Amino acid sequence: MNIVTLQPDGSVFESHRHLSEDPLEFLGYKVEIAKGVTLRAFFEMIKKYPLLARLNPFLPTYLKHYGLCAEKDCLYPNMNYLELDKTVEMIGFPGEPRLEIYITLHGVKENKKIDLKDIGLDSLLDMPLILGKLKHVVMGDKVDIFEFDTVFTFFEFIDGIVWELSFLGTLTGCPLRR
Amino acid sequence: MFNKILFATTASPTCDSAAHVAFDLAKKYNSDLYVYHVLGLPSRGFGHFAMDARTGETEHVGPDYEAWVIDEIHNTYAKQLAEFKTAFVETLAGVPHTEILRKARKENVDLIVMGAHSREEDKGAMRYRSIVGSTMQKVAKSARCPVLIVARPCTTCLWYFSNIIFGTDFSKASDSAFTFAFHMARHIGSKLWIFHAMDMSSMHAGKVHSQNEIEDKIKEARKKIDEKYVSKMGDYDNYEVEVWEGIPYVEILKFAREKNGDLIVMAHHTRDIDPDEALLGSTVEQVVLRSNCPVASVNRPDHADLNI
Repeated sequence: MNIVTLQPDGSVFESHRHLSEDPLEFLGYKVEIAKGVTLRAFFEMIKKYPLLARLNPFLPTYLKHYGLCAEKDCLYPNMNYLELDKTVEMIGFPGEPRLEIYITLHGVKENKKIDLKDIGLDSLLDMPLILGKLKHVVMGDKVDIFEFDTVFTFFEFIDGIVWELSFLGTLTGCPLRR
Repeated sequence: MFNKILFATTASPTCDSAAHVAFDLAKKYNSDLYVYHVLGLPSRGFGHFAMDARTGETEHVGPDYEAWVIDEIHNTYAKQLAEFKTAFVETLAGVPHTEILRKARKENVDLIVMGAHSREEDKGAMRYRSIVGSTMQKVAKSARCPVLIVARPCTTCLWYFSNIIFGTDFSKASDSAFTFAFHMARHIGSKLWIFHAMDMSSMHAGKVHSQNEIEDKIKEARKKIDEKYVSKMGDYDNYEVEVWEGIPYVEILKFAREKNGDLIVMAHHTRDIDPDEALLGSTVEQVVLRSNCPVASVNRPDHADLNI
């Protein structure tokens, strides 16, 4: 089975063996995440396999930021967990009909989605991370969404998380100079 | 500095951050503030129906509905409006970007403030088509005055932008953006960062550049900044110049976050394109989508000197 599994300490296993230092050949594998994996495990994984940091131009900055965060208790109080899900959206009017497939990371609190962009990385690192379902949106109907079990490739997993992280952050201070 | 500010809003929560900045700026500069909501038409033509910005439902436009919307706007911004003598709440049925631009021209406003989206963000559109709100995109493209796009809660710019980042690609439109950034920095006394990101993706097309070549290009860019911008700043010394290499939108975002910038000023579109022909530059779009702080998109020289 072409499966890689992310462990809570950031190591990645393929058939009970550690991934080699060059993980690129595994990017197309199905990814599974072990019990207890948090967003911190994702960053530990990137630290263990630095080549993966080249997948997105924002990753090196976020790795640096990660290094400055507390080593534990980086939790957001109004959230139960982080969920990565996949959406297939059929779009009709207006414009040409098209189909889009994209992956998003969001927080969940009692089945309600929470947008992450206004939350700092230092409040998310220790939130549990799970892989969600595939959501099928038909012609803009975002109320009656079909949901299916699905798989994520290792690449989709990394790319989906980093893409969402690239939107994170709010200003924190006011450095008036004069 | 800003005698008249037009705040284009749907009075929905997606405009809250923009409202915060619009009211704050108007208060600081004692500006006339136009709180303007266009009742969007569901089709291109004229009709008796508009799409309600909050519910997305089609509503019959008539005096009752318009009065109700104005009432709702007054309720939404009751606290802020109470502090103003010269705030005007107005609505009009029509195509949102057309009416916003028409209003801006008619009142000769110095600044348009708006959110990046009028409704909830569309992740698919953001991911694959880099689309910010279409109204915002069209207003930024054609506005004669600067457009301040506020997509996130703004915690530091209450009354002041203290750390202004001007991103340039040396285009003609960037000259207007510089005029705006410089006048604003000088008026407030804030730090002005003049920033250029060398686009490595285009440099690398078919050729690998050596470190020396890259360094030469950085020197060249610094020289250009001195000639084009620094030479126009007189005795103003609260500025710094930075040139980074990489993907322009990534670098400007990284730079703004590192310097804790609270305003990014950029030309509306990159390169020398006729403003009437240009779509919103892809760099600006990506910056608007991800920026922690407001982004001022400056398209033309009109009002860029802030009446100073």
